[in-house]
Amino acid sequence: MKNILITLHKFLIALMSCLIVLFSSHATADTAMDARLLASQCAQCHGTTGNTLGDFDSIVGDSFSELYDELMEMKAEEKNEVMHKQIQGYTNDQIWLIADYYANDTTNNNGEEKVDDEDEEDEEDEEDEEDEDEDEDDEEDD
Amino acid sequence: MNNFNRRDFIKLMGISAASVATPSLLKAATGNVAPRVVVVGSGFAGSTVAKYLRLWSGNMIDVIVIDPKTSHVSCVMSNLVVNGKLNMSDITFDHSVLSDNYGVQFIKGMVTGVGPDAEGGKVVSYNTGPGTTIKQKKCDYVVLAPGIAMDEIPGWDQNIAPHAWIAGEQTTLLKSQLEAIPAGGTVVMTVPKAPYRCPPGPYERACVIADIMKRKGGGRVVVLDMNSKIIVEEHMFSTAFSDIYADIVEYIPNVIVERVDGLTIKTTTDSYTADVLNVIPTHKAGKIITELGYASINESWADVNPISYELKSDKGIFVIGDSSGTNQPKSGHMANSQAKVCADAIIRMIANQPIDDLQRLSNLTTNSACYSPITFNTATWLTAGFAYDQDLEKMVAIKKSLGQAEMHSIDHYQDMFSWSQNLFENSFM
Repeated sequence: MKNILITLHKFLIALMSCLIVLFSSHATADTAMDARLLASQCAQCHGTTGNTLGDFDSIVGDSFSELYDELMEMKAEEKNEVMHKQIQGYTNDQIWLIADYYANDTTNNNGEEKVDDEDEEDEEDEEDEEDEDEDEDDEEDD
Repeated sequence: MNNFNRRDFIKLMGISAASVATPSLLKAATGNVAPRVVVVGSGFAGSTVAKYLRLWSGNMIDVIVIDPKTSHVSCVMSNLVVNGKLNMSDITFDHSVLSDNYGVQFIKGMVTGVGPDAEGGKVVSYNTGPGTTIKQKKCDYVVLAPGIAMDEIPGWDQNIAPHAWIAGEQTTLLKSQLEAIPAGGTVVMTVPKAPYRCPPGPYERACVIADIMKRKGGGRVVVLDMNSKIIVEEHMFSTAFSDIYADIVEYIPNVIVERVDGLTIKTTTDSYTADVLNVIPTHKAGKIITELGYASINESWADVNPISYELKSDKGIFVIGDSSGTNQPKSGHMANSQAKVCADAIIRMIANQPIDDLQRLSNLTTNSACYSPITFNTATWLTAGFAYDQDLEKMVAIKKSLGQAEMHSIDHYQDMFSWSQNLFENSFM
């Protein structure tokens, strides 16, 4: 069961990647420019390239799913913190565009090196396995 | 001037060439002349718009910034210079950085006029010092970002009673006056009538000064507010005044200032003589806005369309930052935010693309955030997000995005430096 779930999870990640590619390549110029403008509104606190100074999280090199999931999680949490408040100002579609922009676009990145996401994806898989264990426990409780 | 190739520009924009009609406003349509934008002012608004016009056009737009100085001193964090935590050099940004990094051109000069030229563009007049010959720069668009101008108060001499609300020499003056004041001394300050630059700023200033006095061993800080109450973070600041600075701060709302003589300020009900008098008067758009007749909102602020920040009255002229009259706060962070919307609009206009299509309008956002020191090692924060409302045709605060810190803390104080570092980088570097 666990293996099937992991395979399903990997399939979903692959599917999502395909959708992102499709989305990006079919995006109109307008969408690209809308995304660029939206994403630039993060730069006040995260720097022009997303390579953030000081203690705030840097967003250069994060994959689409890392950025999108984290932003959506923050939006759902509704904590009284600056970033949690800021993200309430964006629709889910806008969050998608912003995450896609920072994960893929290089216009503002001035040639910044992107880090390899592979290792981080492996970590995600492990975390998900733990989540699934918990799910199974829940089922037993039921 | 760089060689301008419209096809390259369009390609860079990622816009299908077929969708682009021959633009009428640009000589670029027939010749290899780059479109040109002249920016007036080099603060958060002016510097950011100049940088992003270059960055987003792949350096294909000529950008010339005219400013009387060769560097900009940030008001953001300037209260930390007042209390000695930072040096002036920490908040001073030389124009050469944007020039080196993005090819923004700077002219040291004072703008005296903006008008149409014979070819359908604009012409900006300026001098390079008092009494010098007027020079002119032709361009396609003008962005005015001159910040604020102070209202006069009868008798007031800002060299005796500094405002320190435009950072620079005034900041240094207030700092040295506060250094010289003995324990037990009296400081009187005013809070201008809203809207003014940096909503929490005057209350932050009161806390910074009260903290200085407290650490000297005590003193009195009289806060004369021209508003009916503390206009932002009311709980935070009123608690700071009544709790942390209970023996120091005296807060008086609904003040109407009549005149200032030396270190004495006279209101309609009282007169106060101080050892240090920090007069922050009401203010309005930068001088050039009034001179050009653009201060149409309450004779103080420029009336702009926030989808581009173009003046409602004059095509091709844009006003961003504190000088514009929108219902967004006047802050460095917000000025930076507006500048990007303006740069995006100008680039689309040069490419003859619409700026009012449904998709763009539904994705227009701006935001503001700021941190305010409450004591020498704690701070608070305030934040707001705005989105364009297509029915109201203005930027509207998004309720769920409005927030403020519950407590001042050392963590927020540290975050203040991360925030300002990135804001400075994004605007001036």
